[in-house]
Amino acid sequence: MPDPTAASPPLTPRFERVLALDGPWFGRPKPTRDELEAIHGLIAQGVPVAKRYDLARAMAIAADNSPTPETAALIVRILNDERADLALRRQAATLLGEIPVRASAKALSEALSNSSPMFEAALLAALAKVGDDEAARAIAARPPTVSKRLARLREFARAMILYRDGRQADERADKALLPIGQDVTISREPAAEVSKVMAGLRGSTFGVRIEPALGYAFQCGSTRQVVLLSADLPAGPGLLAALSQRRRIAGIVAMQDERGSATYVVHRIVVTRPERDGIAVAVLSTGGEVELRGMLVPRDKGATLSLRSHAAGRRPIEVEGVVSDEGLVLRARVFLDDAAAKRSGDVDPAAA
Amino acid sequence: MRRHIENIRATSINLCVFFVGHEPGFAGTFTQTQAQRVQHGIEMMRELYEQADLGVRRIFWRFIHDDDAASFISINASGATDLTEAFSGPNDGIDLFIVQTITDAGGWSNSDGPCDKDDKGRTGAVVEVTGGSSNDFMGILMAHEVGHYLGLKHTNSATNLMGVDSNNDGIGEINNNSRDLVASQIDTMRSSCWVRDSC
Repeated sequence: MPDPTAASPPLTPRFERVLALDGPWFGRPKPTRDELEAIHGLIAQGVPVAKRYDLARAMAIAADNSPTPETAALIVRILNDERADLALRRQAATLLGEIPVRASAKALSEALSNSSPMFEAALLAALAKVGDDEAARAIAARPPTVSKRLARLREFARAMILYRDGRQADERADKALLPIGQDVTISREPAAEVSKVMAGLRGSTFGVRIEPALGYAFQCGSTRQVVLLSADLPAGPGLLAALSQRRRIAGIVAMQDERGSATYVVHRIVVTRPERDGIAVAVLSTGGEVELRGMLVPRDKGATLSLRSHAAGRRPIEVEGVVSDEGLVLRARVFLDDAAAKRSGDVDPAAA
Repeated sequence: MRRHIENIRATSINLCVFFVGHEPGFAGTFTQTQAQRVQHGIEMMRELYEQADLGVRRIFWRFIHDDDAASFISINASGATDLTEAFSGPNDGIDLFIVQTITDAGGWSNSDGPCDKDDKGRTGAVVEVTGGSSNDFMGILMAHEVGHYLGLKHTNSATNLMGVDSNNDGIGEINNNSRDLVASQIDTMRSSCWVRDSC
């Protein structure tokens, strides 16, 4: 590492311009070896040099052109210098994330203690790239935060470290990177049960005449929901041919008003449209939001159905189905951990 | 006022009240009169819950812009579920969404609603902003739906806050006189996970 008191070559006129405060942006300039040495010398002078030169840009050029322990050591000094403003220290953290050496991981981990949320977010983003075992432990030891975004960044950074190093990942890490779905049981309903649902169904079915013998029930939260298909569709082998003929409202999803209630209301509408490769399927809310969309694709003697969540801010759901001569078999998974997308509305001080 | 202060110092709930379809300065769907009706409703609710020695302590006010609320301004039971799945207020208060119209009831709420707003299904109470000459009914309706959320079910008394489901369709009937709470209901409400101890 350069000795800050030792003389380093002066900046060339080109880098005097590149690193001038409020100077023009030159893209990603490639310094010569001497120019790089001069830039290292500049960074080694530490935070006070930021009054004369664009220190953030100097660090970026050094990290870009010389991602070495030497450069990391220089940037660590800026990272740890509390005289530097937060933006400069965040930049230092970000750049250390681009220099995968031990010194980077160590300094970033150590800086976690006493970091503000904004600073911690930069440290975590960098640790996701270069963190090591010690960093994973430091992240796990952080005190709880009320910020969902920060909590998510912590889990992400820790999980990336564990996955990168092939270490024994725990359930938390798995959830952070590859959310684990919870199976939703969808069962074929006896005709008598379907009749009960139909008897308790209030309101419009959007003109769909329900097939009284066919329904698929599942539990969502505390309420029961039942997929009911149009009576215009044959339940057996002719189903695909019928769906291929024209656009259809193929069915509805009836939702129990509340737990234990005998009354139901239409909660979702299932629409289909024939396309070249199969049948496009969408499940819409009664207000018109596309909740799930996917395809029913012919396979051998039947077809496979694949639906995924579509509406922004909704919990991820996957629905798979197989259509065969025996009828339709449905399977669904819901990813509860990704529910953070719920919106919280705004505050109007005048109204409050 | 003194009684109210004593009440909110003791066992209480918090509410997060959403105006569904509002713009600052009342430039959206919600009118100032409706907002006043909701505020009166909260006061009425405080009076009704006083029977249970249960305060309504803190109100977190929220609104949903008209653009975001377009499909929620006039809804039914299905839309009420979608609304509560799409929006949530601070975790310390029961979400109470105020919409313009509910087409199949005056309000919707789960009986014994989930304590975790990230849970599936309906995670708050939804009521319509009532018209008519009585502001009190707004409060009765709000207290009724939040009452469901706190675990109460319909009763066989029209003067009870939880009203009667006379035709057994899951929808309770209440009126301006539906104000009473009985001891077992009070026990249920006070044991809800949403009830906060004295501060």
